[in-house]
Amino acid sequence: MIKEVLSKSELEEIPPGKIKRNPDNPRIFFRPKEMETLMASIGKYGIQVPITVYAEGGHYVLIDGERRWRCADKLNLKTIPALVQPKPSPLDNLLLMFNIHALREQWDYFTIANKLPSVIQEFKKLHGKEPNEIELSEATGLTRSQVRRCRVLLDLPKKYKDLLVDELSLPKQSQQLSEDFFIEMEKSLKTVQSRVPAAVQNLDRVRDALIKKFRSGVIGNITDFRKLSKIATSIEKIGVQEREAKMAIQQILSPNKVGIDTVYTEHFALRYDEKKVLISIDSITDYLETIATHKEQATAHLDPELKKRLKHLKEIIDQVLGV
Amino acid sequence: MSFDTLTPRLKQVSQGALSFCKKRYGKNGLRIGEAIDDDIGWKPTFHFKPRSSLIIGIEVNEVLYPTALKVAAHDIKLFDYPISVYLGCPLEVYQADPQQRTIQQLRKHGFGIITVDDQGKAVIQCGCIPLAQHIPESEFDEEVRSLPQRIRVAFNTALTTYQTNEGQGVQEGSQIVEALVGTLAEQTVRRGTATRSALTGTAADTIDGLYVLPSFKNHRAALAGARDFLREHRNVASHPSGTAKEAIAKIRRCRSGFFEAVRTTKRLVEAIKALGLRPTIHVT
Repeated sequence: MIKEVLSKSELEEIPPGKIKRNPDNPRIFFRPKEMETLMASIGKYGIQVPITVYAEGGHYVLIDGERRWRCADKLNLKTIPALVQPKPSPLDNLLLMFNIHALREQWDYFTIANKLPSVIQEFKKLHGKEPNEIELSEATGLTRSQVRRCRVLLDLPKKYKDLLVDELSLPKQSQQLSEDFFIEMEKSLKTVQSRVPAAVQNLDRVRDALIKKFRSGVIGNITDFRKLSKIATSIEKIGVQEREAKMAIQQILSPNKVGIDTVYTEHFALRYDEKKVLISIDSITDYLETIATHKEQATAHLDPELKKRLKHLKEIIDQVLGV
Repeated sequence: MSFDTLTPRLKQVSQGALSFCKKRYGKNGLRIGEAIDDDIGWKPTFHFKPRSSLIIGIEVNEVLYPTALKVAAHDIKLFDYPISVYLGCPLEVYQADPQQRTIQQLRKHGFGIITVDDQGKAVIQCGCIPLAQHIPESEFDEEVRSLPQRIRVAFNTALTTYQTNEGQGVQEGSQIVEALVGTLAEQTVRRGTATRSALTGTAADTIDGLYVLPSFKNHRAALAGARDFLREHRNVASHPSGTAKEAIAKIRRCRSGFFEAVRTTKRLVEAIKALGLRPTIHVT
């Protein structure tokens, strides 16, 4: 269907005033600094790549090229080159825009997330069932991981979506809360809820506390949320008592000045390190036991560098164990 | 397009700037998101006509010196209608400009700045005059650099006047030329090269008196230049402009007249120095 639509397109010069925004355009943020670069280029070289529109009721509706159209309008250009296509179906209209951007500059996740429900709805109308992750990925040109990330944002309560919209409409350097922040926070809270459900009483209050901590720098990095997930999984992975994990998580999720990194470093980092060392020891032990079994052949061929390092390791082990 | 395509923050800035402008200038000729003219490569966020011979355009942007203004400046200067342009921006953006470098650049190029704070309160941080009238400081400094300090100061004062009233500014420039002619006449009389009665009357009469003196033989071009300048620009302030076309013509005449005053003065100063006299003035 999309191929059919594209093959019927014609190139025309259209006055920007005759073009209207596409209400279904997933892109909702047009950051001035990014527009500036494009405007400077258009001011100098004109519009080199035509926009894509379809005709409807005496005017044209944008399919692709809203930034170019905005720049052309701001620069009061008389006309803008445009590929005029037949009016697409609602689903094709959406998918055309998704696919155009999947091949070019990627939109913000939130932009995509906002339009996914419309894609799902139109897909359902056409195929009689909701698309699964693979179908959604194929239709939109997004990877499955991108679809999952979008869904995390889509599931945010309205209050936090509004907060994110406010942030995303700011110039990049003024933004504090990014989409990645919400994605990382939500993923870790999901882990906490599934592993230590008793640690979270009121999810919105927890979110508010974490946002406040991030804004004030108590949580220094969005990747710290991965440490929160590790605290939640510590019960099963490194044998931490549930009560201890719960207390640590509650300390992090409460409105105080305790950061994730502090709690993790003080109570969990060493144990995770020990676990890692144990795994390494098991692996080395297995290897050495194999060598010991076939001692005569194996030791003769043992790499001198390996021998040297094993000796050094033995010395350190003796030192640590006080032998 | 109206404010609909702007971000929430810029929408607030636009609304703040618009209410401020309506209160200050009225809403005559108000247009939102429309071009001023097809010949101008810029569509302001909004523009209006506070009087029949002036258009004020406002560009609301997060960027302190947006490309749209850089691109449009040339068209605006050449356009047959006086246009003043303000950049409207969030106060936060204005305050964040390191050492006000971009702000200085905007001012230097003749643009004004209106800021709007989080509460929607708008303030003019820097006023502006029509771009066609604007004289950049650097251009002015370059022109007056070789003049004696006292005359430079007088031209600085004239420039300040020019920036609010172009005709009056040129008139002050003419007064500097006249004062210099007066000084020249006074020192010539004191030297005994001419009688006082031969150099009386208007500045034009004095120039005519000096012109015929043999000692001025090599400096007649400077004197003729001064006479032409005074004839052309002496009374420019008293010629009111009825239409926008007349207004822009007057602005252009005043702009070139202001520079002509400086150049005429430079030639006179050179002549005075060559005659071994002292180039000074007494402007009242």
